[in-house]
Amino acid sequence: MTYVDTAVGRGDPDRIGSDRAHSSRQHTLGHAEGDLASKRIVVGFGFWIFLISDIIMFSAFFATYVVLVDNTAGGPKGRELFNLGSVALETGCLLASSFTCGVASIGARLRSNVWFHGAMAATFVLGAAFLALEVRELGGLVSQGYGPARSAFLSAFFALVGCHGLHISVGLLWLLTMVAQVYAKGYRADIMRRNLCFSLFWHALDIVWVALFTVVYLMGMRQ
Amino acid sequence: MSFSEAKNDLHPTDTAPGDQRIDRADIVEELKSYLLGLGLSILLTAVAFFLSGTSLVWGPSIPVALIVLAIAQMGVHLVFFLHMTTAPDSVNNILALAFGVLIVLLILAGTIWIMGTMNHNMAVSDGTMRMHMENGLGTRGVTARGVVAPAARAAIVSRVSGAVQSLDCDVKTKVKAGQTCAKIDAHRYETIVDEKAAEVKSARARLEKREADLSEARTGLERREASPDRRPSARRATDRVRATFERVRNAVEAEKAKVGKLELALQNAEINLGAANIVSPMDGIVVARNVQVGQTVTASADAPLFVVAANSDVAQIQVSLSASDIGQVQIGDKAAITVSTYPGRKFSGEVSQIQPVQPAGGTDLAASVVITAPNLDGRLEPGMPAMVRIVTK
Repeated sequence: MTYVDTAVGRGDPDRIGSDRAHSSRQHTLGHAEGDLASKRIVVGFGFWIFLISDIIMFSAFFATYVVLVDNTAGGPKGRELFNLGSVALETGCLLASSFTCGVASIGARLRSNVWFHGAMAATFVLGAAFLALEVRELGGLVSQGYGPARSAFLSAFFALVGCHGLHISVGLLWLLTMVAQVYAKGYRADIMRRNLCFSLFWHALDIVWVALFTVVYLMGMRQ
Repeated sequence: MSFSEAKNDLHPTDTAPGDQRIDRADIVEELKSYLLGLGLSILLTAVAFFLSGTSLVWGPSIPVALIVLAIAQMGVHLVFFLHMTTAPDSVNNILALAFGVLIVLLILAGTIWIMGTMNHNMAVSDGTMRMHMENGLGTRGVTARGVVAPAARAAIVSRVSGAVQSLDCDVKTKVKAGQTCAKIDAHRYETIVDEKAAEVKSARARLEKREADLSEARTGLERREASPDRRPSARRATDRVRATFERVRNAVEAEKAKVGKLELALQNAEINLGAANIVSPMDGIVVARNVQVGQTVTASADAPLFVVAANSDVAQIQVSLSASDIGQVQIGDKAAITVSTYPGRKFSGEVSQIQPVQPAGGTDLAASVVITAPNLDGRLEPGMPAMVRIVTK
């Protein structure tokens, strides 16, 4: 019966287990007794584990930055380099894009092309604006001679901010492929699973940015 | 089973992270949740930015406040954007998150505690700190100051005397072999050349006249010898003609020798005239200038006008090491060289010579160590003060 559903395009062709057969079963914590979760849940949980490991990697960059922040080797401190106006704009862009990404997942659930594609387009524009501001900031530092080779502080700064910027770049590419997949194949269950992973990724990047603008920029302005 | 697939998708017995258990009718509720999350995040961000620039709050409390605000905003993101709740259906997600947070805290606290303490203990003085940072921590080694020495030097001396008319080179000028570095007033040497040329010219004219005499004498002599006259008076006349011929021939030889001598003198004068242009003997860079315009210089090998250091693909840095350090250093040890002109750039070289020296007035044995470093781009210029760290084994 599951394979008939595939033709309609609503069912999940790869569904693990058969929770529909047990739909009358009582809800239990964490499905201890052999009730296998749906593939959407397994995929989402697996990606959630990946995101947590990614955040652990970011924490190593943060720890490095915090240790090296005072080692300026006679070069400039963060306070002399940062432009809080630009950072506030970047923060606004990323926060708004996180919101529009949520709107896009609502649009996907409604199967509404206008909402999904509109919100994805807004997410892309905001994410690209964030990236452009960040590239301008880092490029400006390099052209002033304050590149990553100048001091341990700047090495750690470029590594941390650059790593986040790299994640945003990957996220933007992923966003484009999501839009293309929905456009070409519709709101199929497997594609919706991927979209779930994408929105998790994008929200997680915003969480990392909250830590980043607080630790690097706001606290950097006070040092 | 009678329920639709979509309904079934929305009501699984567990939720994926980011999922919310709602019906289509609850879409408005979900949108409200996103909006609430957005509003709270904007509020928290605005407060954080305000706090970072304000002087209204007690200063030391601000970093703590910023961290609290950041954690609060992360919580807002988790609840309103990622839909993490304490509901039983997301227990697995929460457990994974809790484990992740534990690891993150361990990494942050452990690193900041251990490395922060080490960093603090290392900070003997700013200069030492910078030196350590530039030369690499954790390697055993010896640090010394030195100067980049050129591989070869040449003194430019004047071979003629006179007043310096113009200078084309100064310290740090890059010169090619044969390039003019200074000009000495050549007027005197031009006059000498003109005089010598005139003397050579008149000597040549005399020589030509003598040679004409000689060929005339030879013709007369040959005519007499071709038609022999056996009379004694005729023989005596022939002898006289022969004697004249010999005399003229000797005179021509003497004149030739005189022309040769005068031509040599002319050549010397021309060389002196050319030497009024002081040129560099080789490609390199001028490292010393001991002359000014208008100064009168004399031809002397002891007083070089300039010193040129050769361009070379290898630079040598000479450093002195104390007795306590010298035992650790061996030929072939790697060395890192930094110069103040290129901060942050590290040149690598190796120890190529170790010569013990007895410092004047001291009994402490020290050594002069030469570090050889490849210098293909010519950045290590002669005379640059350099900081050398020799990595010992």
